[in-house]
Amino acid sequence: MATDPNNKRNPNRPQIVSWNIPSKLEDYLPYPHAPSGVLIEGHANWRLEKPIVDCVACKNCGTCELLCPDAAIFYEEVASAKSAKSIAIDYELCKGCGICAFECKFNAIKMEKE
Amino acid sequence: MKIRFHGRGGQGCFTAARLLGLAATAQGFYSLAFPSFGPERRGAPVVGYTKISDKPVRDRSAILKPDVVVVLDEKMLNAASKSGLAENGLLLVNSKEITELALKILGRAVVNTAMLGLLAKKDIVKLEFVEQAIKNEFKGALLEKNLELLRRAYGN
Amino acid sequence: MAIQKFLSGNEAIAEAVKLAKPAVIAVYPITPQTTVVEKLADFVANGELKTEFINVESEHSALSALMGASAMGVRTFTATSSQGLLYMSECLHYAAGGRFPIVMMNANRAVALPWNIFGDQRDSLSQLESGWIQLYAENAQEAFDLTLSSFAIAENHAVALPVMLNVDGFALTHTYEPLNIISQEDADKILPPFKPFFEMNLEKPLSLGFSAGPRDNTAFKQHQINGMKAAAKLINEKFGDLVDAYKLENAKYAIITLGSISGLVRDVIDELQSDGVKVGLLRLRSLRPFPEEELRSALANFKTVGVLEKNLSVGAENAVAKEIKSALYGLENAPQVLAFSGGLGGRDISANEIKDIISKIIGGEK
Repeated sequence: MATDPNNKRNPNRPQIVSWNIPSKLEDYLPYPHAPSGVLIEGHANWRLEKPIVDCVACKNCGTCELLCPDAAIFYEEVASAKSAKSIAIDYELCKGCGICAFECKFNAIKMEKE
Repeated sequence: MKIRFHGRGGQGCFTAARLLGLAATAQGFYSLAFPSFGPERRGAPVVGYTKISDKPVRDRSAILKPDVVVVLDEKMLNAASKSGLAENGLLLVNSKEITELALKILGRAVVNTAMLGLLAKKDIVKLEFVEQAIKNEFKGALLEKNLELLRRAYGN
Repeated sequence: MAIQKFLSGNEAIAEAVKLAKPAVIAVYPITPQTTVVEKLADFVANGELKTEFINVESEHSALSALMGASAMGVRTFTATSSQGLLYMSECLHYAAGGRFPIVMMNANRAVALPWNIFGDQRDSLSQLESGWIQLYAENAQEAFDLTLSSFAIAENHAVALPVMLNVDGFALTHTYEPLNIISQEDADKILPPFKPFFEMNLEKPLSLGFSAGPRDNTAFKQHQINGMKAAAKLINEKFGDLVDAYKLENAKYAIITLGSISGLVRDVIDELQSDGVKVGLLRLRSLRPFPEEELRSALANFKTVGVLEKNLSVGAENAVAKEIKSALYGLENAPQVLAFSGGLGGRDISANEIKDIISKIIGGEK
């Protein structure tokens, strides 16, 4: 497995690594354990709709981060008057399921057509 | 040489079988010692087995035809404890005197080391190796008391 | 330098575990394995063994805890018996599939119902397909030696499989006999420090036990098969062969055994051979890897062989007998194979009963 050099990702997010389906036994790991924190493919093109965060309405409550089934929502450090951190979405992981928009108590996330 | 011990849980029946095996090993023989297997309950009938040979002992089956039977509790001198013992076999039964000796020295009616003294007297194993086995098992005052009981029973 | 001691099989195993110095022991006590746990706890309490000793609440947890510890790259040990082994069953497959080199002592004991705490081999034989290496010891000395060997086999990188060392409950676990205990220095030569096959730590986090679907699952099983083949080679080369032949040279009939009953069978064979009876013994030291080639070459010209196992397959021929038959299949003039169950629920097997079995083997009757 190797990190894709063309993939400019936040270094703190899981990296996308290229992986080929093994064609012979020796290409398989001999044990079912693999380095964690990597993705073998991005999900960006799985989406029909994408979540957009309204930073003014967002209260940084963390509900969406907690409930995202793919851990695609995370906190990013920012220098703003309101907070030292703000919600960010990893669009390479996000599959567009809309759970975050559905659960947000402040209507701070809207789903938009891709 | 096959020795079978009969007693009740808590009387040190298997300890006697094991110490005899240890003594025989120290004397240069091969031996095997095992209890009647099962749940351990104070007061329940218990059997201990010791097999001694000049060749490695490979037979782990129960002793059905003992050369020697040792009965630690005289109330257990019955058909079951005597079963399989040859006409010219040796039967050692705890007596009132031995129990009194144990009560005097140990303060308890535990006669297993005294019975080992009687086995040594009958030349089943040499006294010095039984002493060695007892030294391996006990410490401090209990060691001294058991050695005294062993020697007194041997000297009787 | 070895010193001679007079110990039970369980104490012998505890002494060997002390010399192997596992970093983590997770164990739940069960008769007749309990005195292994007690002895190891004594060693920890008096400072003779430095290990993380985890008193778990079940056998399932014991093996689960050890898989985690093993993934962190340390040597691990547990011990169980009977119902405890069966309660572990899910984790047995898990540990073998995960290639965790855990060593486990199993005190062979009957399984319920009816309830029975005595020795037989139904527990481990019901788990033959769990992917574990399964070894069987004959006496306390072999149990001691095989404990150290088990770690060396499991931790070999070509093998990387867990080892179940089986010792007959009571007949071996609770019987005292003389044996030689080797020094720490000599033990260290047999068993070098553990080098993990894979390792997880904070710098190198792993996704442990990922899923492999229909396309990929078979490949991981093929890797496991290769590990077992490597174990067979390693045992034959360094740890005393998968099978132990006794006076087979001029024999036409053989009795096949596993575990501690083999000692008495040797006594009976000595007696019968001196009377001119052509019967020998083949003892199976390993059931996984199964010694197929060894059996085919050792028994090629035999007339009849009888397999004595402390086991019963209800509704089929006994498990070990069936495997022997399978191993000999296709040999020209393959010997007839007879199956015998004995010692169920701790039932004593006497010399006369062994003689009866041998006369049935010679008579070719079931």
